[in-house]
Amino acid sequence: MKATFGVWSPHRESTSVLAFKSALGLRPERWVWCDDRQQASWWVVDAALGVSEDWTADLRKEKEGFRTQGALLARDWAAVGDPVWAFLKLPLQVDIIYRWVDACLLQHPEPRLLLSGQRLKLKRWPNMSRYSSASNLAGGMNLTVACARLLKDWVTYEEAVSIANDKAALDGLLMDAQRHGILEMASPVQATSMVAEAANPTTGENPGKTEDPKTWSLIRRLINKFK
Amino acid sequence: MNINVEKLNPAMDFIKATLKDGLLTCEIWDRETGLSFLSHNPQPVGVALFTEVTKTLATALSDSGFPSLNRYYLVDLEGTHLAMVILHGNDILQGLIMNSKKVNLGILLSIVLPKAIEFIEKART
Repeated sequence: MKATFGVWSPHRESTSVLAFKSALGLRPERWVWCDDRQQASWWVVDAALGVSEDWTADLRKEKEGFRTQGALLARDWAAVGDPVWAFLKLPLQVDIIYRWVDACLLQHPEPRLLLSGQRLKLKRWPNMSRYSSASNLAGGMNLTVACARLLKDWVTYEEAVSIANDKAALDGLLMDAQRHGILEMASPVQATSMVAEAANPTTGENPGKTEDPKTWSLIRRLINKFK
Repeated sequence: MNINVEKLNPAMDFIKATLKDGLLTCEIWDRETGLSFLSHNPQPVGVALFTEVTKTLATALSDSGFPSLNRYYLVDLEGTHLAMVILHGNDILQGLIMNSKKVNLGILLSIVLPKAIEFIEKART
């Protein structure tokens, strides 16, 4: 499966590529390096270090079926052997990179998530203020509690919906979480094995009693916000 | 500006089918923000460049008392590149970069240009 914000580069040591990745890192999404280009949705090459014909041919194929984008960092257009690569002029301009990324995300939106039957987990708190409504404090609290569960354990989508008690709000939150790379999804079998690993039976810990006081303090603070 | 982006797809399909491998890149963007609605081989530097060139050209023509910029302009670039910028009203720009050796100017001006204008006018809601 492709990482929506996975970045692959054969030139990770290049300062231009590092500058490009740093610029992406300032955006709200969670951008990660991918070692395998087939898993990355964003490819970036430094023209000064050479562009293999194989990469260009692969990018052309990828663009037909997937949402893969390729950036070629160069001093001038002459380095662009094939316009399948988006030319980004060096030195890089952050506003041009962002506009390109925004346009790509706008033109190739995420396919709708098939959440039904999936087990889900959040890697970190979403921006809850975005989903809370002053006119519906109870709904906001339910959503916060659902998120707290999703941060702590693998939870089925159906279970999360019943906790949140607002399918539309939860769907919106999960879509954003997926877009920002903070949502983990697994089939029920995968999730069970991950839970078993997390419980670490060799230490004899009971997973049911490993509540993180920090998490609960955060929930209390969030609940207080709604009061 | 209200534009139905889905209705722009037929415009891109038509241009790609007509110009075939003569078309290198094609992009339709918001003149104000520079945000691209639809693209074939997107070129963000090209969008920034031609937004600026269009603005400067329009201002220069206006300031000089010459007739204003109308529907489009063509730029012959080095290395068999031909750039065409189409003005769809005051808010939308469309840029095409083509291989001048593979594009027939007659087809470009008499078929692609009017169709492109028509498609984008239809996409406005």
